[in-house]
This record gives sequence, structure tokens and C-alpha cells, in this order.
Amino acid sequence: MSAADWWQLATRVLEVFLLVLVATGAIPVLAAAYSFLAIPLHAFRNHYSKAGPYLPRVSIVVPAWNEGAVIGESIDRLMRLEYPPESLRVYVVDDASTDNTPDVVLAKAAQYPGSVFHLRRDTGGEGKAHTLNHGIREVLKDDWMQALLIMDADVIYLPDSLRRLTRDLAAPEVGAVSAYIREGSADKNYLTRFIGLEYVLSQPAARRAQNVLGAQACLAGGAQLHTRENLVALGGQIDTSSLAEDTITTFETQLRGRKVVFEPLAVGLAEEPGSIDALWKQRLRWARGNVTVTARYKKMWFRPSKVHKLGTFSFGVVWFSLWLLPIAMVTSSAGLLGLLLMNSEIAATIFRALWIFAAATFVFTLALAAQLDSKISRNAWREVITFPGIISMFVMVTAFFPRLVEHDLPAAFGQHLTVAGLFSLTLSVYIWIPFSMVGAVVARKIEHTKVGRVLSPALIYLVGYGSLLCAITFDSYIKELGHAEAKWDKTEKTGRVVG
Amino acid sequence: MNPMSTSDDARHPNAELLIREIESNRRGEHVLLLKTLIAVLFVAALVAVRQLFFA
Repeated sequence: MSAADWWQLATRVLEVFLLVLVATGAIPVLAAAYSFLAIPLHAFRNHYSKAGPYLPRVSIVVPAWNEGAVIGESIDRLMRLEYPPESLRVYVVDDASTDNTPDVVLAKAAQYPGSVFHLRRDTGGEGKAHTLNHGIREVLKDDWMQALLIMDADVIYLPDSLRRLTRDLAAPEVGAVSAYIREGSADKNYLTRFIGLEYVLSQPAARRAQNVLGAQACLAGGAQLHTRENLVALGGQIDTSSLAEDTITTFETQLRGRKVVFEPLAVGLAEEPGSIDALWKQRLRWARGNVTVTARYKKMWFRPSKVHKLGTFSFGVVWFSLWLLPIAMVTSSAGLLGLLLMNSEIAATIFRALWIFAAATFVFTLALAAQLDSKISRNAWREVITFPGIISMFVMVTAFFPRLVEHDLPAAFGQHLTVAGLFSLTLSVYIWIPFSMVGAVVARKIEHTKVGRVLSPALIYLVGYGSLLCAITFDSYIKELGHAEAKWDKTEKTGRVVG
Repeated sequence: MNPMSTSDDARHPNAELLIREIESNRRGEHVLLLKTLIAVLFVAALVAVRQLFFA
């Protein structure tokens, strides 16, 4: 072979390698499309055929650390649930609170004797799982409890929610049921509206799909109901070795052959972070927990089992697509950039195909999700439209309607794009996605400055809420690789939820 | 009466009501088919605009 032949071969190999890099960006989009196409099947393949009228004796364990602002209202709401009061007990585990939590809970215990109990941990701050275990040990001491509801102190359940959860436990194969946690702050801002929409996408949408696929990724931390048998099978306690106790409980339940069900019509309202910094701390905890889970169950992924469906190909793809999304975004852009610099003719075609598919998936998923909780969607219509970020939307328009961006728009202003101008535009749209994460980091940094109060929300609208979540996931990789201390940063709750 | 209070009947839902609710919720899931169709129509509209005006 001549030198020219070798050069041509090397170029071809590099081109194929770059195409593979670009293709990694399509995997999360494919996974999202696949998940959402499973949602309509929930019309036929759901848990209702096995549900039944079942009202077991339920113990509710509420971990509480400095929850004086919210715990009284939460207890009152629990005591007004449309559920037989004689079958309901509330155990508030006070994790060495330093505010008025003990006084509030003790007053409620006096108001509802025999139904509300105050349990005190003298040394607190070890994390939610330790606090929960204190309460679980207490409720397992006798055989009164038939089902255990684990909730967060700020969650307010709609009156019919508990009975809608217990009905699914009528099926003997079900070990746990999760409710839909809806963002319920009274004083919503742009971020809580984005979170509300994200919760619609990840719960009544994605978890319905997981019901269909037969494997649930995570029980809601603020609303999970377990049978006594399941709790005992789990060793009578929640895992305390990681920041992902909810996911580990969910996986362990299914690995033991019990089903986990998502009940979209049992709704709890929760207060979610109103600032990027608070959201970052909360989601970093979740993302680092997912790193632990991925490593701990390394022998489970992509290995089908007769006992559970966590090892199926589809569940593995969905899990890893979310977990590795930031890496896929970077590798895909790097591949496109490489193809562009190689002057490859295929770059434009691949870019267009990828982004047209992304745009179609985005429109489909958001159009479907917006209909699944019309109340949230009405309040968050701006966030529905701008969910991927205004600049990413421009990139989608560039891919979908190239003539509009490259010719019609400049022509409308009497201009035309030069070759250099077109190259700069193309370069910008190809590498935008990784840079959108940088934009999210900047939004966090300047959030508490004078200019940041206006600029931070504007930046999130520009770069997209998804990019903010990806930046947090990226941070979790860095923290895990650096073996940073895994500490429990509790999300502060101020009683902003209205039912 | 406190508007937030819950009547005793509501706190003791009988089996008939619970079965009716389950059946109603089960049938209610069929609307997912219509909602999916609407979402698909959004995508179809996008593709149609591209093909008609920008192909």
C-alpha cells in the first residue's frame, strides 16, 4: 500500500470512530423515545386488574430534623386522610432537632392520642436512613403494623392517596408501592416550575412506562408503602451505607422477587428547592447515590433473570442512558466537531438526523407529559416550551429547517451567510451541548449576586433545565472519582406547600 | 364545620366504593391512547411544516 492509501485508510478509521462517538448521543434520545412509547400500553398492562379493596393497618414513619415549620400541618393532613383512623398510626422520628419540632409533635400526640407518637433520637445528623430505621425498629416491635408508609415531613397527601396505595398491596406479589410526588409550593418560581415539569416527566410518564416494562428504578423517598413481609425480608431496616437508600430499597425488593408498583393516582405534594444551589445539593446527593447503585449491582445489569426484570436490556439502557447522559452529550459533540474539522461530508447529514430525531422526541415526550398533569402544565407553560433550553431549540430549528436559518432568515435582513459565517454557525451548534452545562454552572455561581437574581433564571431558560441536571451529574462523577466525603445535606423545608 | 375535616363516611370507605374506584381508574388509563395520539400529531405537524415549507 502506498502512503496515500494508508492515509486514506487512517482517515476512514478515524471517521468511523467519530461516527461512533456521535452515535452515543442518539442512545439517550432512543431510550427516551422507547420509554415514552411504552406509556400508552399502560392502558392495558397495569396493576389495576390485581388491585382490590384492602385497608391494612398502616404505620407511617416520618423522619424529622428541624421540621417545626411543616410537621404540624403534615400530621393534621395525615389524620384527615380518607382512611380508617383506627388503622392509622403516625411515628415522627425526631432526629435531635434543635428547633420546636419536639414541641409541635408532642402537642399533636396529645391532640391525637394513640395515633401520633414522638420518637426522639438524642444524637442525630447521620442521615435519613438511620432516622427511618429508628422508627422502623419501633413499629416492628409488635405485630400491629401490616403496611409501612415512609414519607418526608413536608409531604402533604391528597385525602384519597393512602387508600389508592394500599389497594395495590392486595396483590400478594407486590412488595411496595410508590405515589406520585407533585411539586406543591404555593410561591412557585421558575425553578420550582421546572422541577414540577421534571416530576411529571419522571413520574406519571416514565414510571408508568416502568410499570409496563415490569421494573421500577426508584420508589419516591417521600411516599413509599411497603408490606410488612417486604420490610421483614429486607432485614427490617433501610440500607444506611449510601446516599441512595430509596433506590437500594427498590432494587432489593425486586431482587427478592417482589413487585414494585407506581400508583399515578395517589398524589402527595412536596416542597422542592427554589434555588439552584439548594437543588444542586439535593441532586448531587441523588446522583452520587446512583453512582453507588450502579457499582453495587454491577453483576445485575444486562443479565435477564426469572426473578426480576432489573436485568433486562431495556431497563439497563434506560438506566445507563440517564446516568451517562452528560458523557454522551460531550462525546457526541466531540464526534461532530471532529467530523466537521475533517471536512467530512457526512457531518451535516449526521447532525441533521440526530437533532431532527431529538426534536421529534422532545416534542412527543413533552406533548404527552404535559397532558398527564394538566394542572402543572398550565402553571408551567413557559417551562414546557423552553424545557430543552432556548439555544438548544435554535439548534433543533437549524437541523429541522436548515434553509430557514442558513438562507431565509439572513435574507430577510438583506444579508447572506458567508462560508466562514456558515462554518462558525455550524461549529457553534455542534459544540453547544457541552457548553450548555458550563452555562448552568455559571448560573449557580452568580445566583446570589445582585445581577444573578435576574441573570441566573435567564441563563437556565437559555441553556435548559436538562443541562443543569447534566452539570450536576457531571459534578457527581468528579466527587465520586475524588472520593469526596459523602455527607447528608438536608434540603431545607419552610412550609410552602399548599394542598 | 371545618371545611378541611373529612366526614366519617369518607374515612371508612366501603369495599363497593373501593372496587368502583379501581374500575374507574382502570378504565381511565385508556385515555393514555388518545393522549399519545395527540402527542404524535404534534410531531406529525412539525414534519408536515418542514416538508411543505422548508423541504
